[in-house]
Amino acid sequence: MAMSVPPNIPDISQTGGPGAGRAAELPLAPRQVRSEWLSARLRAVRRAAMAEENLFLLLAVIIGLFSGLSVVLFRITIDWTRIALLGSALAPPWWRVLLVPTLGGLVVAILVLTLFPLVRGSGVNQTKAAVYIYDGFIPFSTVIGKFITCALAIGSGQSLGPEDPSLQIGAGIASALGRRLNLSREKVRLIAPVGAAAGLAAAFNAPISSVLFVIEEVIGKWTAGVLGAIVLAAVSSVTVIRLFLGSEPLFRIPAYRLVHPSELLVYAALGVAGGLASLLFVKILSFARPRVRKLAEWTRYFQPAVAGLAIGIIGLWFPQVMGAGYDSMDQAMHNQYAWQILAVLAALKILSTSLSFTGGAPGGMFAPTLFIGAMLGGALGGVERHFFPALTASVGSYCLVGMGTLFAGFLRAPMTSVFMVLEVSGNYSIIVPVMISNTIAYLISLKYQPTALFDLLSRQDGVDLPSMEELREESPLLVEDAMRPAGGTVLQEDDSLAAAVRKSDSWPGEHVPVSHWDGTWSLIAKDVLKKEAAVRERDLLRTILPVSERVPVIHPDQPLYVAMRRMGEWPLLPVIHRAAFTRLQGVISLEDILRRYRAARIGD
Amino acid sequence: MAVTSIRSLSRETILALSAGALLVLFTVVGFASNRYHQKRTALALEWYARGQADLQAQDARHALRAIDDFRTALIYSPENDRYRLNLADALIAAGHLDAARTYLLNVWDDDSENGAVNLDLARLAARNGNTSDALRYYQSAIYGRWESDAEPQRIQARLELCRFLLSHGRTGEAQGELMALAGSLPSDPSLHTEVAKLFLQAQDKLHALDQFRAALRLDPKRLEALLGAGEIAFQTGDYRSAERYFGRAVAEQPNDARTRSRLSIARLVLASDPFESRLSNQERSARVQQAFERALARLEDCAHIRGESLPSSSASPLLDLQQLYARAEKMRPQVRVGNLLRNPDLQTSALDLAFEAEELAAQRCGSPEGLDEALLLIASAHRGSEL
Repeated sequence: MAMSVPPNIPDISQTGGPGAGRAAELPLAPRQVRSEWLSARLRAVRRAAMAEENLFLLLAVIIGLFSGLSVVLFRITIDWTRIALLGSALAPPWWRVLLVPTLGGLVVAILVLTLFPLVRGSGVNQTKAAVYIYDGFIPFSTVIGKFITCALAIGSGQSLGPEDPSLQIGAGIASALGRRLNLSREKVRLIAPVGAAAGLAAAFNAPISSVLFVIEEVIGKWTAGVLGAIVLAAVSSVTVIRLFLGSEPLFRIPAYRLVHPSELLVYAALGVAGGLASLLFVKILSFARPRVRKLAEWTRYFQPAVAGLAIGIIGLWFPQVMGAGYDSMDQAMHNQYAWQILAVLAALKILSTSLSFTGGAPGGMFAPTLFIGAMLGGALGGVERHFFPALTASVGSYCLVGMGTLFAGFLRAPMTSVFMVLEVSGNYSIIVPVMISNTIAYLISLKYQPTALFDLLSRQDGVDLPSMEELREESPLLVEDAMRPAGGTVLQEDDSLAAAVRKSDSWPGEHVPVSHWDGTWSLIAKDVLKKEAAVRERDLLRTILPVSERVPVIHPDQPLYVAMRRMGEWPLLPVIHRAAFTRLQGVISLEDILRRYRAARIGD
Repeated sequence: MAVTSIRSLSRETILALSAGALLVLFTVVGFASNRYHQKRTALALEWYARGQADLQAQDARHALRAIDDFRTALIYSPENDRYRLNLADALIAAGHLDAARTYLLNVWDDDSENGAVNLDLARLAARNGNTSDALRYYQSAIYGRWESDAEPQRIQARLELCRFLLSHGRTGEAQGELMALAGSLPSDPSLHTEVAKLFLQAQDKLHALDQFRAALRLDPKRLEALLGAGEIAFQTGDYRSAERYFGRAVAEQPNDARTRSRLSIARLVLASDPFESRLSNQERSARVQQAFERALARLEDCAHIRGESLPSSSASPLLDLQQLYARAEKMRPQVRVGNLLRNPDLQTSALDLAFEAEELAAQRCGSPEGLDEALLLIASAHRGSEL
């Protein structure tokens, strides 16, 4: 069947497209013209799609889908493992409670030490290390190892969670795909955080918090190049998880309402308690972990088993501390425990998670952190309810805020902690208590534990990864810290050369800034000015200033390193007002900058 | 080698392979998640069944076990209202009333319209003596949302509310609720009977009788309704209806002595009542004479029981029995059918005296039986009436 060329398709033989030369020589049949045009379009589309930037975004979606699917399988595997090993009962029989975590720990240790040595730890630092040290490289065997060992560890009752491993699984999948697609080194380095966001988003069923966490803790900065990809990956993975596991959050969220403003005092107290609990938790880990790691090599085969046995003993009375503990969090949120029990559970979870983590079992810290926070919050809410029943609404709200509080105090991710509670609860009216509590916990933790948990762990492991918190907390030197005040009257481009010479006498140094009517600035050397003035003193200053040689300007609030970068070969830079470009606030030279840096170094 | 060969593939090929892998993974995960959900549902059902079995054992140890069972079921199916309510029931059965209340309040926070939750909260409040909360939750239960069989559940909630109101002496409110209920009852004789009994408790015999009759229209042999309707008819002096209802009741349950006795009294009343409108004057006079003679005999029996001699002794002051007997004795020669036929005033005086004698004998010698009882009933129904 003959087909004519559609009217909207241009005749490429006339427009110099592919094959245009041949077309000029030989008239082509319409079908050939259409076919060549189509293949040219396809090539163009393919080129566009395969362009690094576009491919990166497409890849983000694919990574999101892979990560989502992997996390669905991961969660199912953990749950099935738990049911198979510990049984389906709320309180498993005593012999299972003692045997399963012990033997599970032994098997996990053998797997980690013989087959998957890189899967120790939570997964956050490993992902950071991939970004900052290994050019985005995470071996795919780590993904498989993390999946198997974490499922076994958490499923057998070790007090760890699946979120950080999910983050690393996502990062590992992303890294593998990035490498296979021969992306540039820069993109491969960035692809791991994209996968990390996807993995975490799927584990939490909360895309916003995951994106924030990866930016806050892994990348450390917002860049347009990576933000789009991270968001796409997180959304894709969450879509997958909701498709297979439903759109419900990890726990059923109780309704929140503030009964009386005085309740905020209790939330403040929760912030203090959360800050202190975070400190205790970090101090235990920072004390115990390096000491356990110093033990003889052979003991590593038994460390997770010993931790498992200890957790099993605790589990005989309080089985809630075993595993990730989401069911117990749900029950706490729905008032199924007395406040005394909640307080005991919070304390025991700190102990059992410290045991699991220092014992070297692979698994995450997020779920235990949320567990401790929920129990602590619930206990405080219960105390308030007991003594001031008219002042409080639901204990569940305290559990929810407590989760965010520990997240801020222990994991030291303040932004993520606030958004996590908002995203999980879907209730924006809870923001005031969350902000109060989280800020207090964060500040207490920051004050008494200067090094954040993940930085502490990486340094214990002998790796100095960049600390996002230190970057955040660092106050850079500013131009205003180093600049000198303007020495004399500013020279205007409309000044006569004679007037300019007079004005320049009041300036120290050899160069004087000149203001132009359009807000730009120049520099002129005093001797040049004098020499020109001697020849033609009535001419205007602008006649001797080349238009192209405008000096870069800087503002007082800009970081000092920006001044250094702009300085180039210029002897000094004018520091001008942000709202009045012709108003000089001072000048800055390379010597000023170096002097300030030296002074800062002495201060350090 | 394999890695090298993969690296040598073009980006398009790797993307195509990734798409294929995604497809396979989607299938695998879909299958696994399907099995996973099935397994969780099965586990939830299994633990729910265990919980129910434990709850039905109705002892504290099993109730405690039921709590754990339902909690476990809820792990696998956290949003299941049935499991949540059963957990609350188990908490109540185990005596953990505070925990049950707190738990139910949490469920209520999630779903304040839930009729079953409101009903459980109402029961707990009623049990704790918190009347205002109980009434509020009962009302919410009646107008709340029920997952299945909404109307029957609402009716049961309203019945429970009525019982609660009656037990707290709030008869007026109970009557209001009962009337609302009576207007919306389905064609169920047991429900009509239940409502009739509650009307009786609320002292509303008229509506109670209506409900018993409604029950009997649906089930003419319903014994409870026959007895209830008969009793109300009996108490309201409608002995013809009472005789009819009790007669049917005796036919249904011939060995019930009390019903037989009530039937016999009703029949005696009907057979002895001189106020019966369709009687001939002859018959009426005969009944008056019979009543008079019976009353005199009753006085004699009573005096005999009390050890008093009816022929008066002039030395001692006359007792009321003796006075009445003396008056009756004096009137006795006139109380003949012939005289009575001619003298309607004599009929009235003779009957008044007979009624007075029966009442006095009942006061002095206890409840009468047989014809005396019938005369007493006729007396209480027609005291002061003209024949």
